[in-house]
Amino acid sequence: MNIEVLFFLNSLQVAERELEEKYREGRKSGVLFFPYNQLPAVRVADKEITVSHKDIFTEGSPGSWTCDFLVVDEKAAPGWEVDWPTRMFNAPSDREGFFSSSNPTALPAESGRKGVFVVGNSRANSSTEESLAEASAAAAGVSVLLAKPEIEAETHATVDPQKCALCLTCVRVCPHSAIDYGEYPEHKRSAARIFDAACIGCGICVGECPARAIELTTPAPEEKPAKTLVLCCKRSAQQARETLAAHKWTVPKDVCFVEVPCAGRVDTGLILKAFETGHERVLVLGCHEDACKSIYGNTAAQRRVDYLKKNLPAIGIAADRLEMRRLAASQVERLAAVQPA
Amino acid sequence: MIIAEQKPFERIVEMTAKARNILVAGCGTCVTVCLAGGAKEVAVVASKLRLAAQNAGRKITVTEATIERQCENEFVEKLAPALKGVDTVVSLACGIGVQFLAEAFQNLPILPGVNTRFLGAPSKQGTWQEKCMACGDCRLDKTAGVCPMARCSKNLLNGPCGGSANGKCEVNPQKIECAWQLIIDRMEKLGRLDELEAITPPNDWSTAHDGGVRETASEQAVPAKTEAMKSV
Ligand code: SF4
Ligand code: SF4
Ligand code: SF4
Ligand code: SF4
Repeated sequence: MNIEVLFFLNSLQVAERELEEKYREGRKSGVLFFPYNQLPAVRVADKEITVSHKDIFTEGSPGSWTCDFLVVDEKAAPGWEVDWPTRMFNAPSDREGFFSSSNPTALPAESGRKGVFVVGNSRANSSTEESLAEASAAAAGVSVLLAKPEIEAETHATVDPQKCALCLTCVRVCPHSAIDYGEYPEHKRSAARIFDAACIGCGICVGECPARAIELTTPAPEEKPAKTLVLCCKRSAQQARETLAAHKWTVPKDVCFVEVPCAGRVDTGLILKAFETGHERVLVLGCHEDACKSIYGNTAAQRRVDYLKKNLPAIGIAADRLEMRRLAASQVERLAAVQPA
Repeated sequence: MIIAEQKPFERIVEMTAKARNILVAGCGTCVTVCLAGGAKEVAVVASKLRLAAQNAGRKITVTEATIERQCENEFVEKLAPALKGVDTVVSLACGIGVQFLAEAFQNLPILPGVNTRFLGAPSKQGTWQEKCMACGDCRLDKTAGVCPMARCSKNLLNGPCGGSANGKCEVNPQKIECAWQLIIDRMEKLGRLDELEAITPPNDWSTAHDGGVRETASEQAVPAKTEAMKSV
């Protein structure tokens, strides 16, 4: 019997035992794997099941398949365990409600908040074995932190308490739970406060603050005049760029690459400024979905890009002059594909 | 807090079609908090105006300034230096701020860059909901802390109506909760459900806008020194 098997998945994680082998076996016996950024659409009509899927590699128009059976992964939901860290640390959870279960950039047991570890069923739907492994990873993480008598924290971002309107936006959106609010004694007023030991400098708050009260301590890199400006997340596109540079890559003419700490730093103001300073095209390069070190920095950037694309025509700028693309640090070919406008 | 949202940019372009030198003025209080008109949005609107003009082949100057509150004369005065050479102001404050600027700067067109929507609060980050319509005679004591004027789509004082189903309002069951369901639920929790049997008579709207333009004065407020001198 000739059976065709198609496998749609977000990211294939083969960290668990024997998974890699199973994957290879599947490939060999003809199973087709399709990664997606966007959940495929399923339509059932007249007993016919159709799955439409947009390929992330070709980024082309969606393909669609009809099938006899559709097998959907069971959905695991987090238990009560996630409740208190959520309340204590305002800790962000992923789409399923777990603490970064599917984020390949997070180390085992690591949570969004530095120094807070989560293991077992609050982190993901895990087996006892996995939970035990995570628990020792957490213990290792803690011992690293406690190795020195004092933890030195670097300042990555600062709030100007005179400008802060206490809108609490940053407190709510910081994926690393690094902001609260309180008194600045020297200014005799309350404002948002960044907890240096937890802040990783992603700049998501900077992009979101309506009062422009937050600044990153690292100065924005110089932009050179060029037709195309490419804003590169330092964890993916920037690394791909470094890999290419090490291989004597000839940077395309009229393209200026600029590193950002996270795609989530890129806000509407920054993109509009880029057009104002003469760039004809702006490209935002961020990590794949569910692979953002700052959990939703990439989706924050996507949201802003989508919003702006709708608004650009009213300014007299064609929407296709702004684009967001996803890549992993290893997908150098995607960076190499960036061509001048 | 006053909740506003930015006008569609096409409208702002239309309003400023003849302007050559525009100041985009932000307000550091309500509209900053509701993400519609603080320093960040001022920069965004200014950028958009510059780009739109440039792409339409028009030469204009656009500057930016944000003050604490556009509804206090002392703060508004601080805008004066920023107005040098300016022929049009787009204010991103609520309607109150726009009117304060218009009053302070009589010879300048002051244009509204936002739509002032309502008195409300965030229901979640980035979404705001109406909570009060400033009726001038708050009855929240009688309705368990849920406002029937602002939150019942029909302003019913003796609700719910027949359009309440599963706790939702028929006007928009996806978005609007039935205020009367909320009132009843909460009255029940407070053990005061029986109070709702009393019929509330028709409302006296004279404390609301029906009584004409409203003014309210504090009897115990000490007048500012300029005023105090006048009454001596
Ligand atoms: S987002 Fe900006 S204005 Fe709002 S609380 Fe944070 S620092 Fe203050
Ligand atoms: S820079 Fe990132 S980690 Fe630091 S406070 Fe802002 S949002 Fe949080
Ligand atoms: S002008 Fe309007 S938006 Fe600004 S502080 Fe006053 S009431 Fe709030
Ligand atoms: S009863 Fe009147 S004052 Fe009280 S919340 Fe409702 S509208 Fe506002």
